[in-house]
Amino acid sequence: MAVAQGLTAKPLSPSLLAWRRFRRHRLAMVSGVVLLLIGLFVFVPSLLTNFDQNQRDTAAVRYDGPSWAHPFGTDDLKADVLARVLQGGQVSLKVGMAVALISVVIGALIGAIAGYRGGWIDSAMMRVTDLFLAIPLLVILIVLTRLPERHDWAETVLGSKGSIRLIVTLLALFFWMQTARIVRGVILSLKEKEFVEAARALGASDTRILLRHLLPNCVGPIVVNLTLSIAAAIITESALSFLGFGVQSATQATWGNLLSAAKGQLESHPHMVLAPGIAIVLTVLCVNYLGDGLRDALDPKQQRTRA
Amino acid sequence: MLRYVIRRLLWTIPMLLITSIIVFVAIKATTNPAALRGPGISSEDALRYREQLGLDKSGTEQYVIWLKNIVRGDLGISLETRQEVWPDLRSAMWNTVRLGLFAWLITITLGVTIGVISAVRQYSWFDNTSTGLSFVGLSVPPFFFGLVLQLVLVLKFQDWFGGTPFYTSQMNSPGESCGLCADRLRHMVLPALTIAVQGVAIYSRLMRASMLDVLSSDYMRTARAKGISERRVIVRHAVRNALIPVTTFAALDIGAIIGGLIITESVFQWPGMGMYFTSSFGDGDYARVLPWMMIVVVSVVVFNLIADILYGVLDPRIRVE
Repeated sequence: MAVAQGLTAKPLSPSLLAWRRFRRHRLAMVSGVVLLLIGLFVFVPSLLTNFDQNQRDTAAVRYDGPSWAHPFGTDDLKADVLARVLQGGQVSLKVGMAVALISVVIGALIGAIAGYRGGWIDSAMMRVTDLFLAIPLLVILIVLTRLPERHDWAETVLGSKGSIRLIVTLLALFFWMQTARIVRGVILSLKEKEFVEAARALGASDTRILLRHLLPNCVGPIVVNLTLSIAAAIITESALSFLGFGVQSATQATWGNLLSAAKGQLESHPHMVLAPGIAIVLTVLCVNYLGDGLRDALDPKQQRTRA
Repeated sequence: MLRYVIRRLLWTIPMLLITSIIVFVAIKATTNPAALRGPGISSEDALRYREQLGLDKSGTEQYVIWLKNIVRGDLGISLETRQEVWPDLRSAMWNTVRLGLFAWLITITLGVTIGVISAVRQYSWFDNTSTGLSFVGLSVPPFFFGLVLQLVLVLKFQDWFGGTPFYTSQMNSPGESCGLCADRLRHMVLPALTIAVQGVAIYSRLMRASMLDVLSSDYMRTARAKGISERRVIVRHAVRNALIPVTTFAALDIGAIIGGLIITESVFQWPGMGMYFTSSFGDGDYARVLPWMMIVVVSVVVFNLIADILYGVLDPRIRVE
């Protein structure tokens, strides 16, 4: 940004103000750093462990507890549990981010159109949301994960049974409503404002008003929702895996299916349950704190009722 | 108010119908009844069985027949066990409702109490700690929290103290069967805590926000100006009003109990609706899954309605809209 020469005080841009508000939220700052570290270690596992998830450490003991060589212990095949958890984290984080991104884009578009156009699109959307809320999320997801087994078209459209693509598609299909509602609310309150009228008077098209004038005002809530959706998606994927309906462990390890595979060994080998579980809790906790900090920073007007 | 209630009721009926179609199509499309594909069944037998079940009719006909029966209260016969669906379903419902209501009571009591104290002592150490902890509560998924409770309070507890007051699975010890005795409570505490932890986090935040809202209103100043004691101002004037929005969520949550304890029931082997669903859906027994789904949907929808009406009754300002 070019600052006029001779000015002593720099003007504060909105993003700089937001950054200052964010910095004040200490827990969110710490969480951001922890999340970066988690991301780094998960995608570059060699930073933390010398073992590959499928490599057997012939020198180790099966189901060994935590030790220097294996900080999270070993599993039934003498593989390093830390390596498996980091590898599983790749899928869990990717699923979380993919679901959040896709669903936020869908939600923002639907919410924007419903709020801007109003009329039947708006009421149809609200009714569909009503319907989606009547059937518990986990139940409908469990039912739909079985669709590709029985129908070829579902396999082509949604992805094959137990695949990452299937889980991401299904979650994204049911995660957009919250964003849509929030964006709709913001647009409803803004579309009668003078600046929109001014833009229209200058001959701007509906698309331009929506994209250039209205949606930028929703960036705050959208970013906050994106963050919180990542946490919700990670938890939901793990819950599905826990019940045996998520990403199949034969395809790829995730935090959810690692935990699910270990739940029978809680008594004999608790470290197998604790390692992926703590990974989930730590990640989700940091994402939630980050979301809270972002809400303070980007969306200061919004009342903070539900965490 | 009456017109509002009637309008809501009128929308409920088509909504239930649409949901029943969605449920019917989704379940039919995803289940492959094991009874029809088992080995050793001759093709004539299979055909006769299909006819008996009405599977040779068109989808629409099948739906209409099913809907007629269910409206009349005939929930049908299980494909797997060839027995009436209702007795098993009823006992599963009853088990879930007992556990769910117990957990709900813990949730509301703890959540509201923490929320009120947090708001009255805003930014005190209590407030800060409970806000921080509520994030932890929201971030711990129930399947992991349940396992951690089992590990610490049962398995490790036994190692440390030679015994434990809690159980990790089932509803009763073998041979004991009672409504609400000590044995039942000892089985119920851990699953109930698992369910409550997220709820306590949510309700304490909700109640805190609602209390703060009320505490800054004019009638609070009026009440204090009249010389009413602080305690009475908080309890009679603030808490009662702050409870209004919380009541709506509490009603919604009761409706969600019936279909909402799938994970906890799986962790603690609690023979309720969740286990009923996972086992019958796993078997592909649509005759058991369909009535299950309808009961869950009706429960959510009915309590939705109750929540809306309650809100209007408790807060006359809403009715004007």
